[in-house]
Amino acid sequence: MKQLMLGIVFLFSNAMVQAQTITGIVTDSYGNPFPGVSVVIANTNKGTTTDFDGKYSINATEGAVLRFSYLGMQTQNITVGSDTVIDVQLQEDTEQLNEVVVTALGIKKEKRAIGYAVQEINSEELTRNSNNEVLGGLQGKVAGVNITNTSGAAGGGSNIIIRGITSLNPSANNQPLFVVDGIPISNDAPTGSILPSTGSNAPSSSEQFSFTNRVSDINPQNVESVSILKGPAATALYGLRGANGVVVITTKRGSQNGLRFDVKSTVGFNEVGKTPESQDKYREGYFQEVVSTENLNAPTGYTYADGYTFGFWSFGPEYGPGDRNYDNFRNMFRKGFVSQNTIGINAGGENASLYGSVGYSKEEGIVPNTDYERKNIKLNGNINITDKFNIQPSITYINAGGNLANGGDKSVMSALSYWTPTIDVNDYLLPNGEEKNYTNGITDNPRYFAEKSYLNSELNRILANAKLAYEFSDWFNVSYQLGIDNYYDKRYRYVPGDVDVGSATNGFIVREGINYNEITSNLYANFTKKLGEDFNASLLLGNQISSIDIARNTKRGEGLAEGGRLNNYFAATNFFQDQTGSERKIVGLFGDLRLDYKNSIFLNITGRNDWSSTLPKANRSFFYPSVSLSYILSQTLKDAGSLPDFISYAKFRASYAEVGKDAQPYTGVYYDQPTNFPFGTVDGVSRESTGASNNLVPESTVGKEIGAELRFFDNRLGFDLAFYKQTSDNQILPVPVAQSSGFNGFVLNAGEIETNGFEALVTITPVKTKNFNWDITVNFSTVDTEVISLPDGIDEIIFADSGFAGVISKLEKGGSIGDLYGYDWNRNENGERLIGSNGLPSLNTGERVILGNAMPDWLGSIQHTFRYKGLSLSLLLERKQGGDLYDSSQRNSIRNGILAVTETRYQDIIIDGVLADGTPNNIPVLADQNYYRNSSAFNRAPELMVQDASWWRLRNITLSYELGSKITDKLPFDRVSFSATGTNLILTTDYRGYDPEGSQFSAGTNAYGFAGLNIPNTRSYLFSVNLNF
Amino acid sequence: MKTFTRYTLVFATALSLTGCDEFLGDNIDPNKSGLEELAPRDLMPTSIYYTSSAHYSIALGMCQYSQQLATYFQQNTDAQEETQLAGGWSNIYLQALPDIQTMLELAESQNLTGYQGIAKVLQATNLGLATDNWGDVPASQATLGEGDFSPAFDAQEAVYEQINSLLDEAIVLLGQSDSSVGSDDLIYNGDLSKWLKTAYFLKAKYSLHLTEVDQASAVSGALSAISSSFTSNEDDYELEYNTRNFNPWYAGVVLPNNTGNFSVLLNDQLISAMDGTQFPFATIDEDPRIPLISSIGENDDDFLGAISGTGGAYQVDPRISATADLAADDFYSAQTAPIILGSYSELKFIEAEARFLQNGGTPTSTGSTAAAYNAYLAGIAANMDKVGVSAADKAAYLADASVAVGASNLTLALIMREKFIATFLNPESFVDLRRYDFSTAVFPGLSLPVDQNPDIAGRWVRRAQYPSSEQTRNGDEVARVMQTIDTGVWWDRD
Repeated sequence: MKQLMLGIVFLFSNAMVQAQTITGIVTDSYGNPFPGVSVVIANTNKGTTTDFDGKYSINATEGAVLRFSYLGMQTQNITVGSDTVIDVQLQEDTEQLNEVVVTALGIKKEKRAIGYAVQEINSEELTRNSNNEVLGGLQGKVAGVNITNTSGAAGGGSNIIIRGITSLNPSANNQPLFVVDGIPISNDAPTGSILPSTGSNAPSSSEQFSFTNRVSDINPQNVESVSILKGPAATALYGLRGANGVVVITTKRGSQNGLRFDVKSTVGFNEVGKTPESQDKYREGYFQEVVSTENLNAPTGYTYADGYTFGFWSFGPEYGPGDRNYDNFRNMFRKGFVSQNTIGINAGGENASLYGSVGYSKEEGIVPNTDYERKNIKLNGNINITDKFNIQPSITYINAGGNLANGGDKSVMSALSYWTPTIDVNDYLLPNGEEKNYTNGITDNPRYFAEKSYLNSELNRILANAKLAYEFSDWFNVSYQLGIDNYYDKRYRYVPGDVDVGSATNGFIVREGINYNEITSNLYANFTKKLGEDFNASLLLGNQISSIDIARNTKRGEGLAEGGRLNNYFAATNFFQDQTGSERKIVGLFGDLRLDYKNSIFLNITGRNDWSSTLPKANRSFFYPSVSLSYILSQTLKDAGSLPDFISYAKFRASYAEVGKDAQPYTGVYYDQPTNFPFGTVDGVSRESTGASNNLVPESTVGKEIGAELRFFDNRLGFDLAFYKQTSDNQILPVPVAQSSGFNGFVLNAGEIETNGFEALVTITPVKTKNFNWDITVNFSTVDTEVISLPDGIDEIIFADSGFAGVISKLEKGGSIGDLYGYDWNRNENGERLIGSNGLPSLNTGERVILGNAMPDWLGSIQHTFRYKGLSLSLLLERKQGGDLYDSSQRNSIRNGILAVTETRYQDIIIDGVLADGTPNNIPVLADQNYYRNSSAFNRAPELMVQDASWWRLRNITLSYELGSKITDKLPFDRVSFSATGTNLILTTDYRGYDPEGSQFSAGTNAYGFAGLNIPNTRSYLFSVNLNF
Repeated sequence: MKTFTRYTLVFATALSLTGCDEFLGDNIDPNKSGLEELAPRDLMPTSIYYTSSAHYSIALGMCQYSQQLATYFQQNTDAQEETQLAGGWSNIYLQALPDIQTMLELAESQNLTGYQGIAKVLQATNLGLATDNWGDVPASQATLGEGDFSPAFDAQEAVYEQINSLLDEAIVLLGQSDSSVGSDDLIYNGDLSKWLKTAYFLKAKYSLHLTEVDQASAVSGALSAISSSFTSNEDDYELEYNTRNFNPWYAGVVLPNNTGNFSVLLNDQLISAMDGTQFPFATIDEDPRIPLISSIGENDDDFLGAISGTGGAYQVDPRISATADLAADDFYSAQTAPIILGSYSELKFIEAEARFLQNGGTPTSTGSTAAAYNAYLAGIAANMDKVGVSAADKAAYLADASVAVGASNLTLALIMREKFIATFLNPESFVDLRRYDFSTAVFPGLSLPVDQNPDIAGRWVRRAQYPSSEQTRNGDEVARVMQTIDTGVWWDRD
């Protein structure tokens, strides 16, 4: 391989000239060895980087110019003379004048010129924790960005929200736009059509699989940097699709450093994190009697006490000799082995460079019979055809998928929530191979369910683009880029007739195909002009065309052969089919004018006009502007000679922007075949219960932001602060309308929501010496939303409903995103809980009150990085303050007597509260199964239903060691490093369920505050080796 | 590179030649149908299907109020807690009525009288289901879509007028010949004469609902329609389900029972009307229909119904659990069982009651005409044939002295007991209870549930509440007409 690559490089290279070996050591201003400095022979393809000891070695001819560069340091050029040893000391660019970040459309801008908040994470930071997903590497590192692992399943998705949710629409996409190398890519997490025609056996059930959000297809090892554009001013150039923020990913493109290999190999395992605490005093049974007794000859593996045909509960007698108590909430899950391998190849010369990589990762799920694999192949090129003409082709192929784990109602997780601790959940088979199940089919044996039924997803994806750039003159260049994102996700769900959800139809199989195709065309013209001594201007004009096609085909076979077991779709009895799809096209024209004066005042004005296919013809064209201003006070002071010593840098910024949003494709009223049609053999259509107005206008968001970047004491202390306010009105949403109108929802313009937020990034370097560095990064953010108005005549918009338990997530006027409502106790006029003559309180199910809010009050993180010579230790601590959760599994477990909160039993208790006459309650109640199973006195208690889910967690701890040159000199490697990472090793929370970071619904949902039936989140331990040669 | 060039060209041409608007397209969903692509036959199956669904959804709640069913849970619908029948409301307003209206408009534009007539019969069926159970409901202004997102509610009297006009129009339309309706008619396979009989059946049924408003005209209206209506079980207004589209009682009650999601079972009020408790038999042990409409477990000996409000108990202290469930091999709850919207048997009981009242009968009077008595016997026989009673058992039942009382001993209680059995799982049973004000003379043994909803303690529930979605989205109108659930609807007078 290396030879092949060498051959390719040779093609790009100039002929080799006789050369001598130059060696040397590069140090920083303190005299410390400086690793990682790029050493390039100017105007050639040759280059290297310094090793850990700052040493380099390069072949160069006399007269060649060696260029030593490193971000944030002043670049030095040294001409090779007769001396073969060249030592260099790099000076810091104290004002970091050259700190460049990637902004909208991939435009690199000096950070000082930017009038809005932007945060960039580089490759080293992104991959430090060896997380296999880009979002996993960003977690906790960017202020104002909330990234949560919705599921601990292999391939389970991550959810990302930038600056809070700004939509009243429960089904809106609030995920940011992801742009890779200038081309938007899909981060959809399409949920499944997974139920049979009879629906689930549970009313209002929606089963959930841990569907993968598609940005996880990107291998973080291929990423050079990630920029997070948060507010409307930052994203204005992306138009309507950037309204939720933009994550700009720049992938590696090869450098002029010759042929280099970068190999990273990681192994480790995941295990279930926090689990609920079960009681260990009372065994399986009911009314203090044993119900189920093991008998392997019985059909279910159990015989039952007189009067019972099944066991279910854990309200038996105290554990006796011979009984065991199993921690099934933990034992159900296995240690899932993880491996990730990427080989990256950099090849480059003066006129061409190439980055290629091959990656393979495999993750076993913590749920048995689940796994996820990802294969990537990537090739990025950069070719200078002439001095003025540059081509950058890029192609990535991804194959990803596996057996996804099943959460939600009637799932493995709900079955587990009922399962008694007395019976080992992993003892799931009878000698004859049938299911061993003490509940006799009332619930599935969760392990049996997991082993027998599965949903497989296999995705093939191609991301390809090519960019052509031509420099007409030093003040005018044009570039054109065309990109495509295409994937096909093939899904197959098999449910035999002997598990609950398949029992109604005697088993079923769902075959589904989802095709996504997005084509983007970008055309940019750049003009730069120096208008005077202190005055520069540049102008970008652009056109962007996007076309997104989604098609989905679902087929379902019900009534499986061989008694509901044969895993053969074609042998099923009844067949159902559905086809859906959408096409969305957007044309945008935009301009971006930048003016700077004396390198201290920067003004940026943008305007964009979009034409969207999803809006009515008369309203489909809309324009929105943005203006942002950056002022470098420290520059002015410095120019005036009055900058105090302790101030390194001081910048103030302000911006104003408007952004429009379009609708979902296809307005109007449609008729479609209902899911369980044809009826017998007769086809029919029905009017869809949601229509869309043909008079929609674009939704509008106005964002205002001010901020400051301040650095003191030679940049040892830095602050980056942002305050913003965002108002979205004319929201396009399916307004819930009276069903008597013939519709359940009608898509209209209505409602307004306001968001206020504050973000802070603080960087501190308490210690900086020759061998030891200590860096601290603190992120803090808070978001407040308020519903200013709802559509006329509408009191509430429901986002999610728990059904019988009574907890719903809904919005009312004046409320906030994430409000959770539920039943409260009946109380007297003083607000005291009323106790009835039976000694029990009672729920007022006539109305719901606010029980909490699912959104955090604030999010914060502290990252410490300690470096001592080659050793470095990094700790990332995260805090979520506030943010309440409804635990959907908890009621099941309480009613079955499983949780620790039911351990106080068979004694009289007196419940706090007052009697009808106002005196304190003194009526004793026996705490038995009737008490815990009573849904009006105990298991729907408001204080049980919605819990504070604040947490502290040690998100990551990474210890890494890089070998010194004394060792690497003897090895065929330039750099060798080892690292060990633990994720979620410490979690402190009062929440009683599984790790409260999880979410009941797949990534990308708008329904927050529901958990408990998702696959629990994990702890992971990863060990990596990274080789450079 | 070729692909690249091709796409570039496509985009360039898209913009320059065809223009932006054409590139953006018409924004029309190719996977679904717009109104202009449809024919009435496309909407016929769904119109019928959702009407049947509405009947089921409403029966699931109302048959608990009427004490044909009880639940496994305390403080539930059978204890006369408020029920909103939200599923029924959406079946009617969100699904059935919009599809029927579309079918009607398409049929009118194409002058297809058969479809128009059927549409009007179905509209009358849905409006009747709605108004009988909620009282004042949206009717004349309903399902106008963008034209009115908060429809006005019509007074029940006006809804009844609308139902009658719809049926009168349907009778005219169905009398004309139109052979365009075919297998899309899931009920009668295009036989318009049977739809005509159904229109008359509904005329009779809704006329008799008004006995408390004006008994004489209610009775004469019913009797005048009966002769043009059903003449045998073959005419029944019902949707038969199949092995692919399951009967909703099977899918919604029987299947969930198998996996521990218990919901409803038979009520003691029904079983005690059939097992000799309320009407002691002379020679036979029990009504032969009991094991045909219900099932008990392997270890159970007797069919025991549940007392309302007890969470599934046949007896409260000491507790004995009820045993009579709906199961997969029962007449009404088998996988392919029909949902019966109206039957010949029901018609005969309408006739028997009307003739009994016409003859001056009262809840406590005894004796009536031969015609009334014959209708009573015909109704029993038709229902026994329907549910599959053997000829011998049918004969024995019809011959039992407690049943074969003769015209001179006929009582309203006997007629209504048989109608109560024959309208099992039909919301009509709750209409009858209300029309006779829960009289124990007419319905022997009827009593308020155990642990009755304290909000209406001691008083009978008389209606469903409007769904909360309607309360929050059409609040002003709902507030205008909303009543407590122990308030009678317009035709329900004391």
